[in-house]
Amino acid sequence: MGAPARYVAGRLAQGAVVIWAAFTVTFVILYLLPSDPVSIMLSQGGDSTGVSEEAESRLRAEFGLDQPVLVQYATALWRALHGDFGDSITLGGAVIGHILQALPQTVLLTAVTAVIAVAGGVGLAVAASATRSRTLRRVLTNLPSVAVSLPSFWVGMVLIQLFSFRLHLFPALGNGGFATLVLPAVTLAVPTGAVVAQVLYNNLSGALRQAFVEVLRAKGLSERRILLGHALRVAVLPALTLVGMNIAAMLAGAIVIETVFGRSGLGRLTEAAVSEQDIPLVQGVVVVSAAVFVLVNLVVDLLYPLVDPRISHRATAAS
Amino acid sequence: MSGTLLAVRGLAVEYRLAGGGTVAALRGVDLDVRPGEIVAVVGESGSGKSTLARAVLRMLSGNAAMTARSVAFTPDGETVELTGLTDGELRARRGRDIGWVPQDPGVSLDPVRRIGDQIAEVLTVHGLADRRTARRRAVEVLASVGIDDPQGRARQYPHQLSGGQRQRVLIGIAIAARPRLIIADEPTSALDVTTQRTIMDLLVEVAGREGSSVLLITHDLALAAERADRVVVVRQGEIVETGAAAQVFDAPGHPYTAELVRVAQTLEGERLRPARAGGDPVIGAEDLVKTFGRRGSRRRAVDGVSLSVARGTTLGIVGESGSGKSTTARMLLRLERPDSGSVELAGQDLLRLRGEALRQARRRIQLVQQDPYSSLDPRRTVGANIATALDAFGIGTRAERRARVADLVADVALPADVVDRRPGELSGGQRQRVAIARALAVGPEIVVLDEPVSALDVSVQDQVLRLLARLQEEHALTYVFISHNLAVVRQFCDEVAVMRGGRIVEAGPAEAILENARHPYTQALLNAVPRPKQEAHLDR
Repeated sequence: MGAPARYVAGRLAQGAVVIWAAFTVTFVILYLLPSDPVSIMLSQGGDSTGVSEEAESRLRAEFGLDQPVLVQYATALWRALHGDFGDSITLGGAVIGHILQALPQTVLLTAVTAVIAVAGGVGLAVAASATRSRTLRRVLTNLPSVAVSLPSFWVGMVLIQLFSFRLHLFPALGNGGFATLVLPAVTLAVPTGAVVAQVLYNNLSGALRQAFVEVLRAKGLSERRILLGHALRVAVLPALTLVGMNIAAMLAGAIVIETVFGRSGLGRLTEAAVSEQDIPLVQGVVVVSAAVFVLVNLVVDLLYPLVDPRISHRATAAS
Repeated sequence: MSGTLLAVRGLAVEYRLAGGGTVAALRGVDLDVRPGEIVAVVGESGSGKSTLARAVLRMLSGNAAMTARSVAFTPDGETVELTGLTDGELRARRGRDIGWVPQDPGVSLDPVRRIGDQIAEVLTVHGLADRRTARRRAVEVLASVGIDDPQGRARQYPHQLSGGQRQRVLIGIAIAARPRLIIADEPTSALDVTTQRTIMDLLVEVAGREGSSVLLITHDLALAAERADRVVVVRQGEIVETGAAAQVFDAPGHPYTAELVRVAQTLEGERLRPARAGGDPVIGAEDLVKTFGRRGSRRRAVDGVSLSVARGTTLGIVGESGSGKSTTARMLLRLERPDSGSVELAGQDLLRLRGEALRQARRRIQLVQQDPYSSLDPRRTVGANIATALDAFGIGTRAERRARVADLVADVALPADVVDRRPGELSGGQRQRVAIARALAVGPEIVVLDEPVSALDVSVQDQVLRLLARLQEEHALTYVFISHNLAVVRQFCDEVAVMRGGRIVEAGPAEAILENARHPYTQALLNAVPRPKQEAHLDR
């Protein structure tokens, strides 16, 4: 097995541990909650007093809730390994089915969001570094801290007001096609794009102060060429890491955004599952989200050596 | 103006300070560089010599304001007034007509670009070649600056090259477009001594081959006198002396130049104190071995070093970076634990001591580090810095400690009022005196001096070395003196051990080793010390 392959295998094993930890932590938290699936199911009928104790314990036995906690945990883990998170209490049907149905919408939203965030963040940072006007630079460098502090539900509503109701450019609600993606993706991209801009701008300023830039000037390069052709690539790595880390934030942000924009997706599903205490569904969503996060960050890490040749996965794999 | 490649007249540069006000870095500087000539600008840090080099290319920092009556540049029979060019016009000259060799090759190449592309870029950006031709030419340039396997190296990244190789690449960048003038700003001061010589050889050789002139910026008068045709001495922003290299060195006309000549580190200077033979050994080491790194990439930093230092003498440990000299010193101090071997300090086995016995043993051996800018606690006063060990050992009452600190400050020839100042307010030489006072505070028998003057200007180096020699006499101290600089070792040490690759390759009395080096590595180190030209050479 080659060194990069060994590295990927190692990282996948680490990822498996992360996913297992996410599963275990949610299991413990959900177990500690005062209610259990059976009482939730029974209370759905409105009045639970009518159900006999006997029927309730039969139901418990059916769900395996009368077993010791470790047995419950082992059974759940074994099933989860096979993609079986049980049936949703509130929606009925397999949890995994609901998740797989919701996932593509959210993945698409997150991907478009990431593209917008990177484009906007990089553009802002480069513009702030390139401008000669001190005033403009001050405005541009202060923009990210403003953007980060805006609550996304508010940004979403403002965008809907402006672009849907006033300008009729994009639809306000729904899942139909690319046009409906634009406003939610922009809204979701604002915080990540702002952080990317801030980090990248700081790194660009640092890169432009490095000694090698003086040699580039002495070679006769223009400031623009120094910035775009050299400094940007030196500075971009931490911003790349940040995008990977922020995928988790985007998945979490999808809960709010999908609600505001009336989209279906993993966020909406999570919101419903949590508010209805649909424990198997919550468990499934958490594990799948963790898996997405692990996968995205693995891809980001594999990109490092392409951006910065000083990073080699051979060294990391050896240790 | 014919016959002059670069003629600078009335150049002045001022820096605006952050708190308002300005400071003059250069005043009324006139400078001529003739075709094919090597002109060295010599000065200590803060003299303005680097500002001069950057001013020619208008590469000054944003807070600098430059004025000049004229900066006339005549690359091909036609004179260009550089001060009158727009930014774009000047950019077209940079790299093409004037090459630049920077100080520190470790940080001067783009870390994420292949070195071949970095050379080729000079040609493409000036439209001298298309991409493919430029690539091919880059390989030729790499070969011409002595890079082995240029074809393969062109595809490598800077971190895959040694410091010397990187400086060769940077010289390649400077000469790729065959400029008439090469400005080299301290091109060798960040390199190991043996590499310094080969890089200077290369620079002079390629300049000669291309018929280019060189404006060499350096703090090292001996290097300037060895390499340059003419020497320009700068002090506090003004030129104090200009002349043929040999003349400036042999018959300096200005007292400042005379001082620089006196302290110039050559192998001819006099010893700071007479050599003395050893009495009984006060510290010794037997077969020290230290390995760093994890499995797979283990490296023996120190590989079987034995040494012993007689009371009241100085042992110089000489070697280049990576030779293991600092690791050896750290094991003598027990700051690093050897994998095997033993250290005997005044009859005690240092490696077996524990707890309070070890703590007390540390009073006997103290350390002065290389960089006085980072070895003092910047938040505490100088007095508190010196008193650190006194406090730690609970020596004396508060009043007694204060009196002891005052004595120490007087001992290292600092004014009494530095006690209440912070290290940041002091010059490098003053800080190193503070570090020495701190080492002496607990009355050690042995002081390990790890490159104690390498971070200082030469004239300050001389003062600090004289101070160390005097203190050794007065306090009967034993020194272990770590250095890469044979000229300094020759002035200062009684015994010398030359280290390479973790081993001592040659050891013995300083005079004997330096007069009659037998190991080729010692000879290479000796050859690396500049030898000023004895008479004006007319062959250029």
